[in-house]
Amino acid sequence: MKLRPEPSTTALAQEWDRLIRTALRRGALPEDVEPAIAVDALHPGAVEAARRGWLRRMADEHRSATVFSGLLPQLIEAEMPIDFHGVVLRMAMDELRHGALCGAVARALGVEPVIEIPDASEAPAAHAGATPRVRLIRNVIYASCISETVSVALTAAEREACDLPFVRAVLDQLFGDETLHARFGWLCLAQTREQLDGDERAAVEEYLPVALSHYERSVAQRIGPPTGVDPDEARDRARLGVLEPALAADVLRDTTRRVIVPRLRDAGFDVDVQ
Amino acid sequence: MKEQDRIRARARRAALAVTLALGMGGCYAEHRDTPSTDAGDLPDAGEIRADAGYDAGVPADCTPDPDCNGPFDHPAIDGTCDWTQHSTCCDAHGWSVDPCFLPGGPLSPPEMPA
Repeated sequence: MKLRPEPSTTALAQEWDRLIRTALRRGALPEDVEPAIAVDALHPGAVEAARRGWLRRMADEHRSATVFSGLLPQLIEAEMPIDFHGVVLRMAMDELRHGALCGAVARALGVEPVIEIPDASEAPAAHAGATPRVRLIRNVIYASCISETVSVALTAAEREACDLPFVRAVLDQLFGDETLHARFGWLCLAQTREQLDGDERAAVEEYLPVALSHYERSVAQRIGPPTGVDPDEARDRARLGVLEPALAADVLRDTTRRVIVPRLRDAGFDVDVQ
Repeated sequence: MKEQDRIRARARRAALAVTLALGMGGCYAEHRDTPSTDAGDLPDAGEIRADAGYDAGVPADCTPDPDCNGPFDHPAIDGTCDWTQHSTCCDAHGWSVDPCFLPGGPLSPPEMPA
C-alpha cells in the first residue's frame, strides 16, 4: 500500500488545518514557512541522503500515530485519569502531522511524498496475561520513556546544525511535540509507580532489558554505519537535518545510559543495559 | 570534535529535561506563562530549550550549589543539593517550578519473550 500523508480536497482539510492552527499549535507554525530549499546550492550527495531520510521519517512518524492511539484502550483499562486519554490522542495527531511535515520537506527536496509501506498495523504489545497496569506501563516505558526521550535528544542534535529555515521550522515543531510525548511517559510512570504491587513491579522490571535492547537494536539498524563522506557533504547533510551516523549512534547510546536508565532506577527499578 | 561534544551535550540536556517529569532526582523550571522569543538561546534560559516557543531549563543564577555537579544530579546521592534555594530562586525570576514537585516517533513495543 502507498502512504501519501497529504490533505484531501474536501471540507475535512479545513478542519484538519484548524486543528493544526489551534489544538496542535506550539508557537510558530512550520506550515506557514515557505517550503523552499535551494537544492542546487547543496552537495548532491547530501540532497540524495536527505530525500531518503525525510521520506523514511515521513513513514515512521505517520506510523507512530497508530502506536499512540493504540494506547488509549490500555490507558482506560488501567484506570488512568481522562487527561492521559486525551493527551495520548493529541500525541497521535501530532504524529500524523509530523508525517505530513516530513513529506513536505521531501517535496521541497524535489521528491514526491509517497512511499510504499507493508501495512498500518503497528500497535502496542498485548502482553497477554499481564495486568492492565503492567501492560500499560511496559508499553509506555517503551514507546514514550525510551523512544520519545531518545527522539528528543536526536532532534535536539539535528536542530543544532540545521540553518535552512523550512527544515529548521519542521525540526522545531517535531522537537517541541516530542518533548510532550516523552514527558507523557515519565508523568505516566510517576502517576502509576506507587500503585504497582510487588508482582507487577517485578513484571515491569523484567521487561526493561527486553525493551532497552530491542529499542537500541532497532534504532541502531536505522542509523546505519558511519558514512565516511567528505566534509562538504557532511556539512550539507547536517544542514538538511541528517545526522552523521556516528553522532546519532553516540546520542542514542548516551541517552539510554546516562538519562533513561538512571531515571528508571530513580523510579525504583533495578535495571542495567549492556 | 568540540562541535560534536557541544551537540552531544545539548542533546543530553534536552533529554534530561523531559525525564524530570518523573518528579525525582533534580529540578528545572519552565517559563510557562510568557512564550519566549529567544527560546532557550539566551542566558535566562540556561542551556535547554525543551518545548518550542517556551524556555525550559535552569534559569541563570539558579543552579543548586556546586556540590551537585550540575543541575540534574540526584540530590539523594550526595544529599547536598539545596533544591529549596533553587526553587526560591526560580520563583524570584518568574519561572514555574511545578515540575519539581510532581508526585512521585515511538516504535511499537515488543511482547515479553515467553
